Amino acid sequence: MGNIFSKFGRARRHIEKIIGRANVHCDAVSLALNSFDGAPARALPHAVLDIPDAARLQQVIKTLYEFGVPYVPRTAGTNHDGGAVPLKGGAVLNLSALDKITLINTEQGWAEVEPGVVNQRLQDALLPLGFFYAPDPASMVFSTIGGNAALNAGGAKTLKYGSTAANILAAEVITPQGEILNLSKADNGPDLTALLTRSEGTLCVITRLRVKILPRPKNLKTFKAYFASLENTMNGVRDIIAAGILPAALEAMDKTTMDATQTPYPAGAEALLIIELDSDEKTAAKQELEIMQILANNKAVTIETADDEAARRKLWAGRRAAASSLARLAPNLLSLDSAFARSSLPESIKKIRGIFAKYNVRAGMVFHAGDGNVHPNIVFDETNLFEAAQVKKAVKEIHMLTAQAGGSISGEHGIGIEKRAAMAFMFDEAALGLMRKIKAAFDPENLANPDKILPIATRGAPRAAPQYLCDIIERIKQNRAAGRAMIITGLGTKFKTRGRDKAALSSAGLNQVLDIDKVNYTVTAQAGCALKDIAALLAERGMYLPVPAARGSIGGAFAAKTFADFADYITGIDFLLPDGVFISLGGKHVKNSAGYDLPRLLHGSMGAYAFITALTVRTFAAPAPKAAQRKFEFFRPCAQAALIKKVFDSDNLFNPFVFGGAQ
Amino acid sequence: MKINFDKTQPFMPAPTQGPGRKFIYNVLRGPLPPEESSRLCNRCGACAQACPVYKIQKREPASPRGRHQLLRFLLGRQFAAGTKKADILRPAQSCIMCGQCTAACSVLAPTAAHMAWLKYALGFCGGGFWRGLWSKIVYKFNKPAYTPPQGAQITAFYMPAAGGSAHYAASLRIIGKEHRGAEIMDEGLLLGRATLMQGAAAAAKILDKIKARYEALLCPQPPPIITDDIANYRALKLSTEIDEKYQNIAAAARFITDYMPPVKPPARTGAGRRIAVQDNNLLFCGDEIARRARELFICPRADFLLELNQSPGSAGLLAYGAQHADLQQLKRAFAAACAARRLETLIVFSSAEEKFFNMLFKSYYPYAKAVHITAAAEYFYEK
Repeated sequence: MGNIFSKFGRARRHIEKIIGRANVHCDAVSLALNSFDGAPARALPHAVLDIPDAARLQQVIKTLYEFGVPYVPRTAGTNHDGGAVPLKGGAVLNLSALDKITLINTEQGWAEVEPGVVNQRLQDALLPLGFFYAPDPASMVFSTIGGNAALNAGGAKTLKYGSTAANILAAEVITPQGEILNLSKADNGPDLTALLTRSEGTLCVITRLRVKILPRPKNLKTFKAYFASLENTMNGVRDIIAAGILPAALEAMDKTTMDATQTPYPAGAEALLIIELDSDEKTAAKQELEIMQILANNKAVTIETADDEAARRKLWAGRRAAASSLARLAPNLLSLDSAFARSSLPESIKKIRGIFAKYNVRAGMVFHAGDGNVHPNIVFDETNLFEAAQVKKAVKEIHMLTAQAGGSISGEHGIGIEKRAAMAFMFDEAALGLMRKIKAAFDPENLANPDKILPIATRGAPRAAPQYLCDIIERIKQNRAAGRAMIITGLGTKFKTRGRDKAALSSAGLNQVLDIDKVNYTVTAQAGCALKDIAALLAERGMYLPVPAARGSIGGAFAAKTFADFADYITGIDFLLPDGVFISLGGKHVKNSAGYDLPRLLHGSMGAYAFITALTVRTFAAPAPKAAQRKFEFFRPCAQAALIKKVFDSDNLFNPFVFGGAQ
Repeated sequence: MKINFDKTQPFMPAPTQGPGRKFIYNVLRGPLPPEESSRLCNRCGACAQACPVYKIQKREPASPRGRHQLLRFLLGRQFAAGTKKADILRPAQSCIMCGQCTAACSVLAPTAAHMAWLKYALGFCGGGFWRGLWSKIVYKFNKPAYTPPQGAQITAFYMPAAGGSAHYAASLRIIGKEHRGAEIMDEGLLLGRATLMQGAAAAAKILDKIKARYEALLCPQPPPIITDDIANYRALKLSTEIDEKYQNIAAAARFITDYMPPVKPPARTGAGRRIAVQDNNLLFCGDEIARRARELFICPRADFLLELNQSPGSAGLLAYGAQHADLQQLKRAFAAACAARRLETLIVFSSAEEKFFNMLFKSYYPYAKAVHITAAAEYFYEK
């Protein structure tokens, strides 16, 4: 495989000089054993490179770029989406040896880790310090933080603390050209940290991460309730969310999975729900009463509670092992992770079960119920061709159903190659084209984890722009035709339009609140809505925005990065490109790891990339703590931000002064 | 290989090539594990962090998942022509057979057993060129080929310990004296190894699969199943706990010591005894297994083992397995003892471990030597 005829063959000599001959493996067995990960797909690489440290990784990537060898970074290889499968061959970069926890700063609340650190190892290191790292995927015992970051892994605690992208503060990455970048979420300007780290290795290789750590909650209370039907469980979940309770975890499981985990359960139980509260004692007591009431209303069969650590572990044991114990049922497992709006969860699940029945596939369902994330874990035998074909059909139908319901085909596993084709169900040509251009801008040779995430074909009609945008689109098109630059403003609290000849494009006219969903706890508002108005409207319904009601519009606060963590609460975003193309991403589902993280990219972009027209924001039942409002200042664009500017706005029409045009 | 991903295609054909002229499978010396056993794994990767070798080497071929998949590819004949035997053996050799992966696995895939099996099937004996040549010659004339038992004609089943050795043939000879139609029962390997690694719980899981085969084999009054592996024996005896139907199996199980000639009790002092207390010995076994072994062996020997274990000369008991949290500490103690005292003898309870430890010692502890417990009986006492 490493012969001189392959692309790697020519680079081999140089790479052996960098990392040593012993770390370059080209034998058939090493290649075969790096041809797979946790998903069914397989493809052989040309070589496996054991990377001893980050410094040499940079040299290796430079060499690979020079010789045009595709590469795939890999740590534990436990993902469910085939993200670490070397589709185009080339080199597998084994980063497992980069496994040091370099620094833990409890004062400022962060830890610096290398990508190969196993999640549980960080948790173990933080435990004696009284801290924890919030993302806890069920695979935390064996999955690495690098992989979690690349796929935006979630977990039980995502409901309260956000998924991995929300917990990464800064990152050191290596671009496909071999350049080391130090990115920070708190920097002014567009959030490149999320875009690059969350790209499943297609835009960069992560070499170090600074992750958020939090003090361990002292008051933990766990409930486990069994229900006689799955519908009751989901109704219970919906009621808990609608009551404004925000548990640390809200997990459910169906009977097939309960059987597979081999934990005892009462007779007649069809589903179970685990609820974990970590609020302070006074609130917890109140919430406990409410939860008991909701569970009783939804006909819970048995309720168990746990206060101490040992009992909690016992309650959680079955849930943690759920995915892997389905291996007991059949040799192959396909784990899907559709995310829905929480209000539509019960009926979506009913439909998914209908699909299972239709194709007669065996599947266990596990739910991160609190954030509307469903794991239909389909078990099958790939040697049984008929069964495999049925599974294929069922999977396709589930993806289509998810896209139609306005959900995300991937809540936390990422896209990789397993869900790649289904991306076309979820995004239209405009959105996918934008992502493709971003990939091409960062990685023109298509060497970094090639052929992942983005589908080759697109299907379906482009998403039509809503009626209220017609005027604005028309104006943008006219300006573009005339070559006039546009200045994008919200309510004008940050900066005023100064240019006379430039067309001012204000979102002030877009001041409607489009949707308030009390069951799902989200609000959709047009970009020009004043934060104060939205807050007032929500307060009538007992809902609160995650950020304080500052001056200015919601779109302005988002585009100017007024609050550092505002992007963590954005679930959907609509925007217009400088050529008048309307793009709508996300929706009312809380979790999303499908495609590149464009919403976070636009956070702090100052209108230089796109004109944001509407935002969907998570809301809460309690007012947000007083967050520090960031000082407004223009950012100094880096080379990478400029690359993206070219993708969005090659003629520099939107807010041209940001990227150094004439002011 | 080019694959079209345009279609919704969650599954792909494995892009490996079929067998060629120089065919690795031609060198397989013995039977491989049943295919269904090699397909237990769904690649979740939970085993890797439990594997002490992976934690150091951090490479997929050194992880239990990699080893398991290796066997799966081999059985599926997915390696290309010209694949080197040494490459295939490397992942197998890196397995230290501690069984931690099986403990972490939800299907309890017996990867360590598979590796023992693979090593044997590929003719690995760790004895260098001459021993390899010798084993090839022996194999030529003395094929331990598996033939399915023929029901009523069978007068006894012999379930050898994993690995196979000279001792393997000797035991069969001993059994053959009493039972003319003795047959080797290779399925027992899987059963026995899995039990050894995991204890009762694991045995129960794996037993379900194996039991189906037994049922076909065994008549209402089954012939004795004789084993020289304490773990196999234990698994067989355990089968009663699950189902009354299998009491027959439990009743039929015998340990090889029932068929071995009685041994003279050792002289407490004097020249009758080969190993003196002041010699450095190490007893290698799991607690539970040791207890059973003591029960099994007739009194004087049990006394001797007990004495050996507690004697001031011995380096202490090296336990292993998932149950033992202080595994690392014990290993350190073991290494220290080896270095400090020029350790000479290590007694192990299964022939597979005997092979493994002798291989290990060769490179690290040149003075040490592992001896299988049944062979140890001959080693310790004069006939």
